[in-house]
Amino acid sequence: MKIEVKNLSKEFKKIKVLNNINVNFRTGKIYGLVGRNGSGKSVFLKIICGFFKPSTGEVLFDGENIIANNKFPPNTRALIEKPCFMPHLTGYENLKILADIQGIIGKEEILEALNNVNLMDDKDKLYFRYSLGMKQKLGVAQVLMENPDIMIFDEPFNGVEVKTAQKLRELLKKIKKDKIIIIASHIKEDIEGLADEIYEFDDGHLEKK
Amino acid sequence: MKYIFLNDLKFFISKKNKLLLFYLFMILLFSLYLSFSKNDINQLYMILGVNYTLESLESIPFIFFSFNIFYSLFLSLNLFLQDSKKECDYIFLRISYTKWITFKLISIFILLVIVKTTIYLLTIIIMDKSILFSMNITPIFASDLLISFILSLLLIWLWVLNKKNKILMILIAFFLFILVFYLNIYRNILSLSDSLQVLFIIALSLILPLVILFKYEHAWYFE
Repeated sequence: MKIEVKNLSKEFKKIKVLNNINVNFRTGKIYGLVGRNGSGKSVFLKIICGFFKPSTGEVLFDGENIIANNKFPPNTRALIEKPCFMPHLTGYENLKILADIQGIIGKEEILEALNNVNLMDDKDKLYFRYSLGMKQKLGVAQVLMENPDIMIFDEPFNGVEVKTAQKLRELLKKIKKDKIIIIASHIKEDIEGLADEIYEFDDGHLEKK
Repeated sequence: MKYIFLNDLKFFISKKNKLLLFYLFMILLFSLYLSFSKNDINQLYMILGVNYTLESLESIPFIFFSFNIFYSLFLSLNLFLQDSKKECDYIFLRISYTKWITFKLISIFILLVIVKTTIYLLTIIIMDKSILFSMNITPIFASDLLISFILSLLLIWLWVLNKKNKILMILIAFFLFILVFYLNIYRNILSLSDSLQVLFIIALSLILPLVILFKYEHAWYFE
């Protein structure tokens, strides 16, 4: 599986946010994207997920331009910016209701995902009572639970305690062999030691580090 | 469907939906007041906002008519937009856009039914319970519901056009304005209760192109 980004640029009201980006992502690697807040990481990830259209350029999934064809990237899950769940459901119920959309996993996989982010003790707590870190962990769990081929994480370690962050890093290294994993963060230390390749956003350009 | 509907229900209990509480309060207040004074079927229709005509200069019927229409538009547009605004975009990686728009429109319709049923029951129980068992109220309710839904669909279409071409949106909005006010095709909701089939066809003719549009183009929904 391969994602090719070719000559990608994005403008919002004549302000260029992404500038002629060329990068390839392949199965079996974890890719780190670093850059200061507002450098275009989230916009880039949203384009890959098909939520935004590039102003110029293309994104190919195994040779197919899925965005131009108005399709989804195949078997992809993402956590981009803030997670959004239903406040009056528990953590578990929120994941269950998401999982029921496609119906490809059951209780076991949901509990495993919650365990991987150290949320088992809080799974029956109502979401509106969750701290910022717990909300972020639940957002990560919804990416993990269905074992997708492509995982996209935007600031997954925000507010997450060291123990869980370390557990998550180890898990991602373990499962990466048949996946493409892309992690964006404004903190380089979050990515170092985890990503196989690191790219940095700077003024809309993307450079390999 | 379950996810989209429950997510939309979330809006009902949000702070943004205080307008509904105010609307219900107004209905309760006026219903109680009128139930003790002059109480006839026209007063009930006035509270429901279904017997106002544009030629009328009376303010209170206009206020209830406006609440009736405006709240439906407010609810529908907020529900339509919330999945893109509140970073719920990861729903779309699990469901096709065609399914999303179909379920979203069904959800909006169901919630309009719930709101209108609540308003009708509240008003009728206070003012004239006997009407509950009358056959007349059902077509009026259906007509009110369909008109609110059609106007909501038109507003959604105007929003879509605004995203794609502002000038076209302004032209079409102006055209609709001319059509309604100057060609005098508008009648009150009550009198449209004998045209339910036509209203249903109008609703379908707004829904189907919207579903097709989302199938082929949707990135602008998020931008």
